[in-house]
Amino acid sequence: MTDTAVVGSRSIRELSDAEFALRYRCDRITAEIIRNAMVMAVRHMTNALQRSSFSPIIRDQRDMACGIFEGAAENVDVVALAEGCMLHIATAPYNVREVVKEYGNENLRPGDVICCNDPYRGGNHILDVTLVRPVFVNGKPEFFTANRAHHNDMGGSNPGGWNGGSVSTIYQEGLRVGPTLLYADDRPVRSTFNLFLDNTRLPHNSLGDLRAQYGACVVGERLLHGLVEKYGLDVVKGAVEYVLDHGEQSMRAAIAAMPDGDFEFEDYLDDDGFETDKHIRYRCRAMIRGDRAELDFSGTERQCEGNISGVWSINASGAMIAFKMVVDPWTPLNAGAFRPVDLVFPAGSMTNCLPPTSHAASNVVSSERTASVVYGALAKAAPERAFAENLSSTGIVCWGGEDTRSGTPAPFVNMQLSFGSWGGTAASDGLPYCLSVVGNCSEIPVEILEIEYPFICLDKEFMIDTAGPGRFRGGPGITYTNRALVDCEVSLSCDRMRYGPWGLEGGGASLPQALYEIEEDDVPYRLGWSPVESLRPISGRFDEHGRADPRGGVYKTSKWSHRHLPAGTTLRITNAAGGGYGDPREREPWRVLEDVRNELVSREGARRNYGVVVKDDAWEVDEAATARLRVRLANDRASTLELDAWRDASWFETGSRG
Amino acid sequence: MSEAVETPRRCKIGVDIGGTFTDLVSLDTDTGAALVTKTFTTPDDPARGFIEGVDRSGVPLREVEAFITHGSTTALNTVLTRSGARVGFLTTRGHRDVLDIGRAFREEGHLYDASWMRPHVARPIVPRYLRRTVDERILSDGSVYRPLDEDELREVIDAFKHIGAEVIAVCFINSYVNPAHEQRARDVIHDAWPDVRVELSSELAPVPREYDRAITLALNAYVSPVVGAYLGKIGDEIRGRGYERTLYVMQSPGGVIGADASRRVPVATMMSGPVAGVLGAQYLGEALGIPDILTFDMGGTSTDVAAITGGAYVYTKRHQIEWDIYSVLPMIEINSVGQGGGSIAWIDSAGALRVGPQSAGAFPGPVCYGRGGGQPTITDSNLLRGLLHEDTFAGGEIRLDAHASRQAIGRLSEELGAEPLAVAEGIYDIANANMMEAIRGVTIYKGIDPRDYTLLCYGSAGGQHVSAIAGELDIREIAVPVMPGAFSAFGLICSDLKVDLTRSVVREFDRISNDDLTALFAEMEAAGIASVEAQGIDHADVVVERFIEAHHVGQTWETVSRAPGGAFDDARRAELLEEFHATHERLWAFRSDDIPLVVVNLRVAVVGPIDKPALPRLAKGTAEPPADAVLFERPVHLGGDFRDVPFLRRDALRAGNTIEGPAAIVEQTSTTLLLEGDRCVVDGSGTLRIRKEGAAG
Repeated sequence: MTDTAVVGSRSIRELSDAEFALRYRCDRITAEIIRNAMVMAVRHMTNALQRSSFSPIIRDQRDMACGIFEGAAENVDVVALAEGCMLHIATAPYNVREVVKEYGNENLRPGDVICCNDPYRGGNHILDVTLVRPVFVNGKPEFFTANRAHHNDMGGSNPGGWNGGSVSTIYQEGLRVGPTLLYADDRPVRSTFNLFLDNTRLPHNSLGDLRAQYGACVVGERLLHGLVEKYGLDVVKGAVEYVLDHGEQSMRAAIAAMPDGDFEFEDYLDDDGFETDKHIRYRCRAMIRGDRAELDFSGTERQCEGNISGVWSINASGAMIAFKMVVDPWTPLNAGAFRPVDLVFPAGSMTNCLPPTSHAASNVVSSERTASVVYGALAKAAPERAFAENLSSTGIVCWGGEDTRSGTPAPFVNMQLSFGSWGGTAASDGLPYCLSVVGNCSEIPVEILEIEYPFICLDKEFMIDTAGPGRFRGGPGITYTNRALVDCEVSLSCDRMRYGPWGLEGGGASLPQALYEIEEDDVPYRLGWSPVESLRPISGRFDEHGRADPRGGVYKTSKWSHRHLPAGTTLRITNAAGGGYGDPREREPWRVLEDVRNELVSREGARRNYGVVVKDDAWEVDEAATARLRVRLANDRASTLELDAWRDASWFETGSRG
Repeated sequence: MSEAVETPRRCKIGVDIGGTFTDLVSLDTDTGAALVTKTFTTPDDPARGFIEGVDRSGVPLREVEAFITHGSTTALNTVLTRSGARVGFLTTRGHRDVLDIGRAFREEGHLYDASWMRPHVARPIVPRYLRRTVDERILSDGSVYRPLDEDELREVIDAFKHIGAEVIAVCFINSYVNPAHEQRARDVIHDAWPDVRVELSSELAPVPREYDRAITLALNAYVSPVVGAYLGKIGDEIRGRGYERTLYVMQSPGGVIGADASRRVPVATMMSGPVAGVLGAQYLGEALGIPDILTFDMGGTSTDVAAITGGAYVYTKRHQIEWDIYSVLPMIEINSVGQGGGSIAWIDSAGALRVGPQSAGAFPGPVCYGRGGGQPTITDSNLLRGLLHEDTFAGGEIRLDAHASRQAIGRLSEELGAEPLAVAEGIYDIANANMMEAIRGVTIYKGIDPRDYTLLCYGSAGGQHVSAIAGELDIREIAVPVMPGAFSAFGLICSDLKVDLTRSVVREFDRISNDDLTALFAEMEAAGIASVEAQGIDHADVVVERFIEAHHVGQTWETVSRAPGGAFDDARRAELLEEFHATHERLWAFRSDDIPLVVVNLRVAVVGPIDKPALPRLAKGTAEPPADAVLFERPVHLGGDFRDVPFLRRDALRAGNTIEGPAAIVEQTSTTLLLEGDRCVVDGSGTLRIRKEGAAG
């Protein structure tokens, strides 16, 4: 234990009211009220940014986050964060801290906004631009409101900045800006705006988005000033300490409820886009000791040549999200929750890459696997709190080109996010259609997509017999098919195309992701799926018929860029289903029946993976036949091999009848 | 439970069905005299409680001029309990799962929970086997990419018949631009199945974003048979009792329409109960000369707040019932928070005291109701502090058990290591803070200063909290209407006829000429006025409001701003533009005069005023309340200490009576607490006008 004062070493619960007041300069109720007000203020900032921004990536996909921060330069802490896109949530504090430290408190003036997009200063990738506004009280910057939003283009050789398999340094990726003044005295600094707008393919988007980001900072500032006016600075700062201590103690109590011990897990990325025959190992040892934990990533491979190695901040984000999901899922996240957890990222590894490595895709690749090995390790400590693997790849198909539908050609970048499904848990089936656990973006509605971009979305639907079977199955796989109406330059930044999401506690794995091109014009509409002959494999692991198969002999890389596709090209990505949790032969038959009726599981899949026989002439389970089949499957050791949904590959044969 | 007054000669009846009580208000339109009848709500069949109220009121229905109710409770319960129709949902090939996909992101507050499930997946409105697709496709410019495959459609219709679908909802991609395929599909369905109800997304909500349209349509189809049966049943019952005129139904955007019209768009009744209260507030504000009002309606399970500025309320376009289950039809903006008298107090894992949003509801209710509730609620903690009196609660209908409340709060206080009274005060403060957030949501977060407003308090539980909340928000004026517990029912009979018209434009502002603006607005207004006139309103009385829904080029979410009336010239055009920029800056803290505007919709609201009831006139008294108004003095825990506080009977008060806080004013449906520094004057209409003298300024 530390040698803090007696009061300081005791939990909030144990403090008398007088001790509480001494420590936090307010009573418990006021502290709670201020905490709540800050959370709501941040939600309002998020709403303002979404509603007033100019790019689909922010206004529709919500690839952004807002927060309120407090503290002096060296230890700026996050007090409250909007619960938007998760990855931003956990890296934002590092980024804000670096910005304030480097720019210097003494250089800040009321009405300033500082911007920064450098990943090596606690960021994600250069596409994410962070704005930080000091909030002055009595002439001193006491708080900061900040937000970060993805800009769809930051220059570089490939539209959208996703340079899979083609670049190795950050210099090739695009514009990189350290902490720089963007607004002074609430007036835009023209030279800084020029810097951004002259270096992007989409200045018309970035101009409005930078203004909207500024607006969201100001909205947060107004609300903070209101709080300070109401309660006084001293009380608000006391309440902030309470908020952070509360976050810490909640996390400590949750860690203490985990068994002590060392728990290890390994998982792999497909490849780095350069050495496509070599997968990349991630390893985590989770050490639980009392109310503290250490996550050690030693044994993870060295940083790679492609653009997927992660800066430490993005991996810290992935690690903490995963840790919190298993250990303490119920309380809001703030910097206090980070205190009892030590993270060990070996320098020069995939989890802590060194400059000048490129890493634009690390936030959708490296952070994902960092998260996988954390919850994978913790599953060994507490399987009842764990979950089978989710799609664990926020795959991005990025299309760039010129929209020629109207008279004036306009440049566009369409960053198509991949939504898949989550794994089963000890108590529930996996969530369908979502980003992986480290992200929480929204999606561009089809009708907005088709206004905004020269595309037609041909399908966006669940796939039968793709979910990892289990007592609680994974969510289904998703097919998403897009046709480009103009020539495009396309890139893919994806993973889980070589190995599909794994099952847990006896549950089955699910189908790996794959990308196909469909050439025949009429095909996507013929009953909503395509005969396998018409699918031309582009990325993924395939059998000799071109069907996605984790045992297949052919692997085509999931990371590439600079591919020119002519107008009329149709790409179908099949996004991963979730893994299953628990033995599927223990799944309650009524649930299987419901899945069969809803065409998420075929009759054949119900027999083979679940041992459930559905009557031919009625929506009923044949109880007797089911009992016999389940006994037979239990006795047949080899049947465990049949647990993986992809073995059926029935989606390729039958499709999903809508 | 009737307050006996002599039977009115010309009267209007409003019936509000709440979570706990069904309130019937019949109002003599000549004298303003009101009769309130309260019965318990019958959630399994709300029509039963409704009819019971009608019978108990003793009002001869033959003499009633207008009968007005809302469908909120029925529509909302149908959704919450998933007891609606078996809807066959037909959509475009490749998009079968639009309803399960929603907006694809997860709910705030549950982001680290791997077992969180999207409500439509966990408990579908339309399960997957009832969702079918057909080959057809229209593009965003309205052109046909794939023709409608009518042979395939007939197969789907057979499948729907076979499954036993009761309603068919058709939602095709891009139908908001070109509804031809949806309309043709309806014809084909009707040829094959003449008597089935068919609903089209392009008619109900012709707006872009397929999920917005799909979920609104699914909800409408889902509740339509239940709401239809409910309105049919009460219509039959009141007709059987001699009522011969139209049964009016309140709508979520405010205003009433006839029951037959309402049955076509039942989803528009979803929030009409709380909306009625806002209309009542608007009317009362007008009658009393209070243009800026914040409504504060605290009931048993939730608190609803809304802002009325210069006599006008605000519209919104998304009302969410559960995550991603919402309607996008315009409605009066109401912010709801799960804080009511029945909200449960609890302790979180880090030892912090929390209140709600779980509620003990009407049953079992707070511990003190003695109906089996074991978890302490706001009502229990207020009872412990003496803010309520056990003998006067609900007119003595429910005898409260203060001892049981004390025990329940005691269990919390042991766990927290604090005095029970301090815990009770904490529950009060936290609940107030949560409700203040709801108020901030419609004021500060929208760039509005609540200090300029009067807080209008109604609902059964609001009176115990309103003064403290006003104090925290620096609001100086509070008004408590007569019969605050039945105010929403009163609001029903204060409503005007209303027609909302929206015209999709989707054009850059520069490409819309002054003549276009003039013509488009005039055309819409003419249509609206004709519709209102057809229902017997004199043209001269009609009031028209204009709005534009617009965004900058590049944005997608519209900012709604007011537009000037009359013919457009360059000055009016500039005025419209400036109003947009100013609204944008107030909401989002920046303006972009240099980026062109896209006008998405023009909107017009045409209001046909209906004769309002006169406000009641209270006999005049002196500044000193009559001696018999004071029931007793008893200790109330305020500001950390007990002090003796007088309890006064509201029905004994006279106009001009002045009461200094601390004091409590009790009546059948509510208790209003005045704090130190509050000065309450009873005005000529019987409204309590409270001024917080202690407040700054």
